[in-house]
Amino acid sequence: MAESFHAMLARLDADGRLWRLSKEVDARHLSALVVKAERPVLFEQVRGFDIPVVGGLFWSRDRLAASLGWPEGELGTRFATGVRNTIEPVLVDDAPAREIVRTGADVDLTELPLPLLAERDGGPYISAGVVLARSAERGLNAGVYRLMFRTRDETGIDLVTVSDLRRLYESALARQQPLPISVSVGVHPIEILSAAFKAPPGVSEMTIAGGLHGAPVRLSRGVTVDVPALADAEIVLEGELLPIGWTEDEGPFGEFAGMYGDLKANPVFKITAITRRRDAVFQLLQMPWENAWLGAAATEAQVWNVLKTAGVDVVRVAVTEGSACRWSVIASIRKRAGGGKNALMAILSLPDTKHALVVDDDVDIADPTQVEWARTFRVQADRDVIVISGAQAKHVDPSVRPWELTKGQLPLTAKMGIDATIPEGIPPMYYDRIRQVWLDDVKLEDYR
Amino acid sequence: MSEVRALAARMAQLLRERPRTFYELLRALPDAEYRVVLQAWGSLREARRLGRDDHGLYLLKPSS
Repeated sequence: MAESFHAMLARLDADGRLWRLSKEVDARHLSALVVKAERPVLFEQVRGFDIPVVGGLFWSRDRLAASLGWPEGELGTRFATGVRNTIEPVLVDDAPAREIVRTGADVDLTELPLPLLAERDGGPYISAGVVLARSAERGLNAGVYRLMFRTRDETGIDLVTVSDLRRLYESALARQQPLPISVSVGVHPIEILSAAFKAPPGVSEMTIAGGLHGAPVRLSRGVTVDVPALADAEIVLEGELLPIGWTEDEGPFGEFAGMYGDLKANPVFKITAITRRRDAVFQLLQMPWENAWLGAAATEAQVWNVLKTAGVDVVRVAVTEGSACRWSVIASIRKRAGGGKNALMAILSLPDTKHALVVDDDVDIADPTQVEWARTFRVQADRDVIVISGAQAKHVDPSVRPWELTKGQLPLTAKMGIDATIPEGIPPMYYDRIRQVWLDDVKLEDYR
Repeated sequence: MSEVRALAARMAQLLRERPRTFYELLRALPDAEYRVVLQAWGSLREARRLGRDDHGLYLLKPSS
């Protein structure tokens, strides 16, 4: 059976990777404490609420890897394997997420310790929700969308960016019908990172999650809508996206790139049921790093796949943290003549990648000093730097000047690739690293 | 419910003074229980009293 969020927390706790904070905490302080803590935090008592909060599970590469139970260096390759070996979800009747059910007038979001995350945020947010909706073309569609608290039974939802959910909503809106959805909060990291992945056409994200688990994802039938939810989620919200279009204020919101997104006009999610485990834990997903690192595995998997397709002998791939784990990629390769440039062209063909750096496999890409050494001593800027103008971009990058765009106009960006492999024509012996004498024979312990 | 109504009135007064972020509002209400803040905020939203200025700050709309 696939590991649940609850079981994952117990595993981290047993491994000493979770700080169980038993002292009562004001919900105002959750965000700051998550950022300052050296480990993920389980807040056992939040004043005024009977639901504990956990935050910071994915704040860094090592924390995400620990939550997944994967080696740090294998985020991309493991994810790529899961994408190739999909497993269909199963419907179950024994759903912990349905142990407590509130519907109709009993629906009250203020029973949940909804945190305010950043100073300019438009209000408290649910940032760890996996939204499921039914799609005629691809079955069950899953995505991760932020929900801004509005009232006891309403949230805003950001549907500005092009997505499958947006397309489903537009279709429902054209018929003046609401779109039923479920939102599962507190789900296993495999499920949330699969939901955040842009799955190929015809593939449901939850079948990818099944492939990554090695077991089917368990789904539970909706209580008030004809959309299932994740049976092992901590908390489930059900309801409808109202057919009002992009009319209600939502945001600003501190986004995954580390900057604020503007106030937007967005639709409203009307909640018809809140269900949860008896011992539910609310997951606080802290921006920017928790969201950024969730995208890392999928980005690294995409880079692996595109390099393999291009016939590049790839050794390691890593996104860089400063690029929100997405825009900048480093790859080490076993190079044939011209292979560095080929690798750059392949990586830069991915829509999200803005900068790419390729090094030989003698360089440890996890070591920034080694990477900088290669970029300094193996690169001639007039020969080894590729610049591509007018490529696809995202609004969240201020350097594309999104405020200058007319309504409906999409931003464009310049991409850059740096070939930091040993240039053709330079014998590798010139890059022999110095090695101190008697290094293997002398032991510090003998002199202490 | 009177606690919620009283806090909603304090929030309305703060927004009447000048537009604010939710965080500024929260900082101006250090004695209020967080859950009551959520409830009072929700009641202002339900009454359609919350507007925004050009910078995304909340302001108070006239009651209809």
